[in-house]
Amino acid sequence: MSSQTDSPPDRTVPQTSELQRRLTKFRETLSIVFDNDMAKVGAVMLTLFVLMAVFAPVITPNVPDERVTTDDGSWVKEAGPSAEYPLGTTTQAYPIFSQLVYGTRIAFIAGLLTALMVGGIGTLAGIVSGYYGGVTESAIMRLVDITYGIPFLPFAIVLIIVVGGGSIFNIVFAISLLLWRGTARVIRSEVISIKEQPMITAAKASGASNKRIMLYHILPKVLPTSVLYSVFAIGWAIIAEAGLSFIGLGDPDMLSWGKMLNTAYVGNAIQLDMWNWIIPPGLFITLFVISAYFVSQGIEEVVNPQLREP
Amino acid sequence: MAFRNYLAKRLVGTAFSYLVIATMIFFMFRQIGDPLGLHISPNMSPQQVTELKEVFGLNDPWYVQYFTFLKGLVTFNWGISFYYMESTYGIVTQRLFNSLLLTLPAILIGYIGGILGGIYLGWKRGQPSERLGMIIALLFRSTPRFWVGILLIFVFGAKLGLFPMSGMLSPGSEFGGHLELLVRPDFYWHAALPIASMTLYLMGLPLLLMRTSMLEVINMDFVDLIRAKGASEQRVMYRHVARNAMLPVSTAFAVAIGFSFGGNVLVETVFSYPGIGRLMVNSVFRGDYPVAQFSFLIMAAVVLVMNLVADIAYGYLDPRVSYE
Repeated sequence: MSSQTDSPPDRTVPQTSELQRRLTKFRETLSIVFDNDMAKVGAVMLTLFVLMAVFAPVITPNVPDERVTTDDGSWVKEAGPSAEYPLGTTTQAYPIFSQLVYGTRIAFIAGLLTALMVGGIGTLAGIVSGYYGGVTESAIMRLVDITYGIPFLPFAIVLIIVVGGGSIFNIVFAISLLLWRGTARVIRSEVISIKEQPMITAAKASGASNKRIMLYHILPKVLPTSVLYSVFAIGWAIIAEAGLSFIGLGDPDMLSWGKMLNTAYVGNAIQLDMWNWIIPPGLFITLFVISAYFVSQGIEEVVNPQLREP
Repeated sequence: MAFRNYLAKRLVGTAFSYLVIATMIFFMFRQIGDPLGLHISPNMSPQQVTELKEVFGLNDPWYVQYFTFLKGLVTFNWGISFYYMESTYGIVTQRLFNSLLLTLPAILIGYIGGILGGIYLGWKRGQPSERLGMIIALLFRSTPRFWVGILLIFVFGAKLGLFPMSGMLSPGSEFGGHLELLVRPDFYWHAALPIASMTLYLMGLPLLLMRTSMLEVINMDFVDLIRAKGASEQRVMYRHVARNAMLPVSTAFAVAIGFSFGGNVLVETVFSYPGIGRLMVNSVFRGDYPVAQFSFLIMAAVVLVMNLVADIAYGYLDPRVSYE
């Protein structure tokens, strides 16, 4: 884009400096994000969760979906915390600590997939509607308006039952189907103002295609906002997955924190006074969501430079 | 004039959205299993099955059913529940009021608390108490409401025995209408924990919004003027800055009423509270779609109407808004 000059031999020079410029820009952006103390804390917490997800088999002394039994084959039910089973066992003799640690994997799958889908769909819809305007814009924005009238969780419940069973992908799909609206709306309004910039007019005049303009000139500019809303979506996804799993619509093959709470609630953990079964999964949901939220605080400072001033 | 046009446009838009949502829901619910599985047994004669289907209007082709459904939206004739075998309208509206009795106090307490808290945080900008308050607010918003409910039941119900663990009234007591509920201590005793679990979550948003909005207003020139006039810092904050910073919060309030029903589905489930959210979930599982679809559509209607109210209120409260 910087090669508007008439001297072709110089072409390679701006190319490398372009890459360098991008790298420096990226580093600068990162340093803005992590200048925020909350974002720092969030990043550390998320890193710990990543380690937990990756090294789950190493960390846990038992396998999460295998009952803990004694030597004579009888179940170790409702055990209190001990060195062998750090958070005790459930009424069905499953090790709670192992379930908790392995649940981190599901949280990442649900969170990242949703973030990708919400970010992808929302950004695409926002750029296309903002850039083209007219009928395209009206149609997409109409759709956004409609999704704003749909109660989130009830819709997800109906959709999952209609699609037939809550595989993790159906859950992500149901969540993303509504959450893209926020991203689309914000990106669209950004695109509308970017479109007026001389740079875009220049690109058009030099014969760049619409696709190229959207991809190379507009997308990089809206990317921080898009990332911010995707990170917001991670929290939503985890909480929504937990809620859906809690009412029994979770993925039957996956051990999420929401599902742990479901089995604890249905298995009378409250009456059995099993704090070790009730508290850890909910606490992990909260910590995971809040760490994503903390990181988003830092990203927000990139998106809204006014926030940076003390 | 511009406002009238805007209002008309928004009204038409809302009606259109509602029609699309209703249509979508109509077709979605008809994908769920066999609606009469509850009543049809293998030893029924085909004639009996046909008669039974006739009662529920299931012999008609889909477009006739769709038309009846649309007509029902307007006339409030929502047909007969497959499960309860009585008028859907009566069942759904009663549960809706039950839900309102939880939701409205929860939102009211949450927003009053959140606004006051947000003013305080805006005022304490940069101090440790602001930081702590922010973290608490974020914690509230990041914690699933239903888990807070479970914790409250665990501590105050099971351990301390101070509050009942579920239901709306003590077993054996009779329900004598919604107005009558309001004078019964037994109801409040049952409602306290579910309201608390909703309030803690709902408080987070107004708190954060109010704080941000306070920070924006605080630097405006008129604030310096009032300070120069010798008003106390407290008066400046609560009377002048807060008043101007209320705008985003007041519209969020309307939107929150709409959306809180959705999230309350889970709280109602945890507390086995007979509200509209739990009714919807149970009806979906039962394949009782007359009840399920109208519970859903009532919730959607509340969301849409509240969004509309929020937009109009925003224009009313902020004269700078123009309606192009």
